[in-house]
Amino acid sequence: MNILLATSTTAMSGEGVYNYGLVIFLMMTGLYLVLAKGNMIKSVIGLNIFQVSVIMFYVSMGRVEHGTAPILLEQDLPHHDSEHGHDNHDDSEDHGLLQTRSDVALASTADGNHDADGGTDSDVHPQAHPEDTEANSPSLHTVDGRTAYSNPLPHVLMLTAIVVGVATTALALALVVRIREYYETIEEDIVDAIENRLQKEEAQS
Amino acid sequence: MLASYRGFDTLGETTVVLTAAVAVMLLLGRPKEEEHDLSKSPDPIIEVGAKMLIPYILLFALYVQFHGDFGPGGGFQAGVMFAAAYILHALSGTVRSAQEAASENVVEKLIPLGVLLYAAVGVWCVLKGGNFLEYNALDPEHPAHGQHLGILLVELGVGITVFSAMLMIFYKFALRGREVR
Repeated sequence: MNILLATSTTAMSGEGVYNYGLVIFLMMTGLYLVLAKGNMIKSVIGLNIFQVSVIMFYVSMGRVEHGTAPILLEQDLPHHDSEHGHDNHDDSEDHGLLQTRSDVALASTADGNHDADGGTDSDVHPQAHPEDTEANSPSLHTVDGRTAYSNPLPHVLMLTAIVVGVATTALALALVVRIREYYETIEEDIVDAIENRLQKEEAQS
Repeated sequence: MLASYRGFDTLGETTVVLTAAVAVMLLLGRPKEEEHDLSKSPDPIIEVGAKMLIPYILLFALYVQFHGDFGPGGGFQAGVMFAAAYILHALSGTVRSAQEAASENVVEKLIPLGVLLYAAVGVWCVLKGGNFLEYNALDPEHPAHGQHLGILLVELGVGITVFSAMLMIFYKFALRGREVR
């Protein structure tokens, strides 16, 4: 447990946090565009940049140290007839191949997580001495004899966000097209002015 | 693979794409008088170059579509790639020529078809005695086969909807033209 705490504190002070800076920069850029620009197309672009910053934040959170892409490697495939070559005992079986695959991937990532409370099984400590494991491991993505996978959950969540983002962007641009056809402008201030003038004329008549 | 343990979520995403396409169609609708196709036939070099690229884009889209059962890929990416091939066709020629390849009427009907296919797979699972979108029930003897079949059909539905929605959104924007000034 103290090893886990130590790694987390070094990560907070070290070079592993540049993604926060990048995300904050992107987010503020998007916010500035949305707030400061009267051009509606630029506002939509700002919203998109804002959204990308959130997506990048989540995706960077899903990284696991030494982790590979969360696709189950051949050596980690559960074989029902023979025992696994690794000490990778998993309780999931006979749910169908794909079900088992995802279960194993999730289990591996939960073990490789930085979170102190993420690892539920206390006998496995994947965060033990990084230099030690690098010396012993045959592969780059192996931690304590088990393959480390990046956390797939943030990625799939962000897939939803991307899809919704595309949909809302299309809708926003369609609205801008209609606004331009009606007011012949896409500047918010001018649209406001036209609206005010129309209201005054209506009140006078 | 994504559709295996996140079936409901992906169904929702597909519905979001459907809703966006419907909303854009409602907002931009059919152009009032004669349709404005401002795109004029460009350089022959661009036309021939795009023609050479399109088959490979389509092939890669198919690969991504059917590889989605086992690894990275799936309906969303493949659908967008498919739509990109048609949009490239439209950009390198005219929107009219792309509409001859994929007519607006057909694309319009494909958008809900994909979502319906997805939902139908879910209902099929229920009829087979499982839960909604529990693919294992499709083939009680070999649950893995059921998984494969279910995911294949579901990804196909996603691909169809995303492809047709993207293409329809492009058509609507491209044909709207510049009616003011």
